[in-house]
Amino acid sequence: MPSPLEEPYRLEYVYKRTTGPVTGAFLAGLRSGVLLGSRARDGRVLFPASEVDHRGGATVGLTPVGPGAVVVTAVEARGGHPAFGAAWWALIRPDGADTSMLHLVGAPVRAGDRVHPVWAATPAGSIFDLVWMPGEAQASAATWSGDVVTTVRTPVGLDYVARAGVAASTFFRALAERRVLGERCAACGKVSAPMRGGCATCPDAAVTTVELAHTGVLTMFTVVRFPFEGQRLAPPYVAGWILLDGSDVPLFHLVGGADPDTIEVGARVRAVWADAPVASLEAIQHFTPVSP
Amino acid sequence: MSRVGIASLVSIRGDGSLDERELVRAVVGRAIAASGVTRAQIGATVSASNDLVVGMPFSFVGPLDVIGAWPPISESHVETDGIFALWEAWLRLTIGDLDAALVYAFGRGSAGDQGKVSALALDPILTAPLAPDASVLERLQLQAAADAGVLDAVDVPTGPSPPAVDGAVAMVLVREPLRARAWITGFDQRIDHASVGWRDLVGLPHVRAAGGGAGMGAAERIVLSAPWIGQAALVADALGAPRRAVRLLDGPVAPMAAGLDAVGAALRWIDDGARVVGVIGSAGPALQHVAALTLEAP
Amino acid sequence: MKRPVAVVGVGRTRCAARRDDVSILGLVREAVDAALLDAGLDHDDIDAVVLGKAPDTFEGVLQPELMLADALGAAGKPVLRVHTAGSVGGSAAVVGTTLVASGRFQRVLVVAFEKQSESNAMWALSPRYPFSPPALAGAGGYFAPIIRAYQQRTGAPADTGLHVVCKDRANGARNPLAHVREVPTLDEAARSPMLWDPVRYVETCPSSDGACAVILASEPGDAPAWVRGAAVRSEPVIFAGRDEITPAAAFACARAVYAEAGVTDPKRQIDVAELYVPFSWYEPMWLEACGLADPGVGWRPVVEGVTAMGGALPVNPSGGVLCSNPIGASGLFRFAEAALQVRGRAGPAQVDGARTALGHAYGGGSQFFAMWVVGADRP
Repeated sequence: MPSPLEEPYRLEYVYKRTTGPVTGAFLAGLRSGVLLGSRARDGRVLFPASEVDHRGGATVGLTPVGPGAVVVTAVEARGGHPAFGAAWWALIRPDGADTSMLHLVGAPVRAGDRVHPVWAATPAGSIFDLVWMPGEAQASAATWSGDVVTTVRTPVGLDYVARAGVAASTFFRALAERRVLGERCAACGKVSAPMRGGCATCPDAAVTTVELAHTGVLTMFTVVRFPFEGQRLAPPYVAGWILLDGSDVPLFHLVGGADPDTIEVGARVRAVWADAPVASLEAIQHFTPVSP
Repeated sequence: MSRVGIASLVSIRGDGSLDERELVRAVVGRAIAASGVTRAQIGATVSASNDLVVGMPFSFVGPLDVIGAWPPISESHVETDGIFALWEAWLRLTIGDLDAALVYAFGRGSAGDQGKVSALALDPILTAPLAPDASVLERLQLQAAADAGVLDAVDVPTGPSPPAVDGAVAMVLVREPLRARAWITGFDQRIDHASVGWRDLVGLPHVRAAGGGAGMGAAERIVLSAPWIGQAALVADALGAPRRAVRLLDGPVAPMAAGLDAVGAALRWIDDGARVVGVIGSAGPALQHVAALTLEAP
Repeated sequence: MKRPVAVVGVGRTRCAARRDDVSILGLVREAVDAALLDAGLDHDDIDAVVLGKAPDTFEGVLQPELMLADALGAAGKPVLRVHTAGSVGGSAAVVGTTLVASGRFQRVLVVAFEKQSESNAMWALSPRYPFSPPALAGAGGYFAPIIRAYQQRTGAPADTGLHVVCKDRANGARNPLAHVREVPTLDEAARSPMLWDPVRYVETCPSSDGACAVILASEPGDAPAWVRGAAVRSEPVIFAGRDEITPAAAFACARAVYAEAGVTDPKRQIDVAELYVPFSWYEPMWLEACGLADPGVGWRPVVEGVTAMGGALPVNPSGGVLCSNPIGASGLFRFAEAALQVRGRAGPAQVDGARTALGHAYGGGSQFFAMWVVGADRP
């Protein structure tokens, strides 16, 4: 059996996050060189400032903490940190706070060590505005003016390898050879395409691979009348469900070369193949009406 | 109230060639066949998976093909480890109006760097941007235990987290008088605080609460779905169990299927003659969300 | 034995294209705090939490119950995160009902949210994933052919969908929490740009930030809505013989929920319905699936005004999904609005004398369904 089709895939987006009043204040504090905590209803000071306390209730006000702090526990960032270089991941609790936060220290530290914040030269109102270093903090004249960072952009990028399964790989590879394959159920006799390795109606039944015609009938459709990103045909155009001859389930695809105002359900169509052989549904560029 | 038990459990590992649908197809039919119940007797289905394991939204939809189109099923899906799907299905059966339920979970761990994916579970403004992978939180947990003298320094891992693999698990739950491989005598689950800096990473009060709720005190052996042996020791301490009683689930695990694989390991103990065994499943960074299941031999 | 379950608290946020005044945490807490206030309860009174939400790609937060544990007041409690596509808010309420009905929990908080503005819906719902079908026709491309087929099958008047829009928008304009509150005339609606023929822009749902919470309990408190029946049904998206216009799961879900609720004549016994209508034509289609209209003539009560406020069977007095659509929460909004009706607390959306109400949600390719029937009378 050939190995499955695979393709690298990157899930990537720069999220636009609204911060709310408390985290927004915390970030503005960082921008000003001030560490802010928040008071819980039970009197504890939570760090970093949080809009919610341990029991789901609102916190009741902001308060500066630190800048001196203690390492609760720490481990080395193996291979370094992309933003801070050689660093130690640490739970850090500023003086005056009752809880700690996860951040990075730029030198070896262990539980109980004293650390202090080192501020970025050009703070941006983000968690990257500081890093911690061993040693006591200098007295700081920095103050938070009460402003709030309302929005932050946080990029997320994750690399994956997308792999089609056994049945889908067979189906897509056949499309690259301009063949459409389906599966016939040994129990109900129905033919399905794309191949899925089984019959959705008869989950315990075996299926055999069958080859389908490149012609079929339009069973349902819409006329796309507006432009959108990534569109492959100029609107207006027809997109709909096509029941290939010999198949019992329709495929969704485009119908090119059709008059959107006169085409009807039941129209006979045939596949128009893309010039380049590709192992995907895009091997079929679109369907087009055939004269009766 | 009649007892609810596990009639069958089937697990597989994938080598990357099977998609979600094929992974689930490889276990569901066999689990039903091994359970002694018919598809028609299954009154509820609960599945578990996670879109970001593969990076594709709605990755749970395709495997529905495997359950059968007619009649439409009573189904729900949890976006977390399968042990929580099992918990939902168990609660559903305890009501007493259904005979059997199907539970399945799957994950294609080989699709991405799951340690990096897991960082997205942290605060999206203050912590996730720093991109601590799963092993950072786990090492901090074990280092904190070493700092407190609860573990030895050698229990703090130095290597990377074990890589995740592809896999799926399906099981059938039944209610008396149907026959079970093991009966569920207790099942509880608890989540801990969101911020790692708010949590008692060493004492694990939520593990203690879940174990207590599940009546796990009587368990001879307990299997833990987590990567590090030091975590097994902390869980044992939290449960008040001897440390040798808590074992790690062996071998590479598939995301979201791990908790049910741990149930499979516990069932094998029962098959081998154990009377009462426990399972601790987990989700989230450093055991943030845990489920405790106690099983008894029939 | 199934223990009786009552809705004793409801909390809804204001919905908007972008709630830039709150974080994800704050959005969720707005709904939760309102539900607790409504129920006269505190977080310490809650035994377990069910969180419903659509794909994690929307916010780029993996399993958000983890980072929301404290915002949900859930630390130390059981939590379950449900995801069944657009139906998830309804599914979460059904799961919450199971938790209370099992007798193991006295009070369960069910929460659903979506903060769609953290990314964008088109991307979050269908990034270009290899080997998945290309997005040939965009977001409405799946449903428009089905709607067109429904028109052809039933011969429904072409402006049926526009009647739904004008009615829902008029309702939404009375709802201070609704996202879209402009009310078009029928003529204005008819001039709205055609996107996916026959679906016009005005006939599609917005993309919203919003959250909803309900508290389910085994004791009624004051002004309970009793859960008379709750059901979910699912079917695969593609199989031989599937009728996408009348999905079997939609009908099966209705049969199941009515059987449990003792509803034998829904047209007469249901006083008000909150149906999941993201495209206008789904109102007549779901009226038929829910037994609130006869097969093939679901359009008739729409054009005759039966489903408008003041009609015999008001549908979506809140304005529905066409006015506010935080996807993961939209289903729970439907369920919550139904509960508010029978509690007599629906405010400007209140239907006089509502005793029995239907909440409905669907998702995926018309394949996941969740429904509940709530009543003022104890079952």
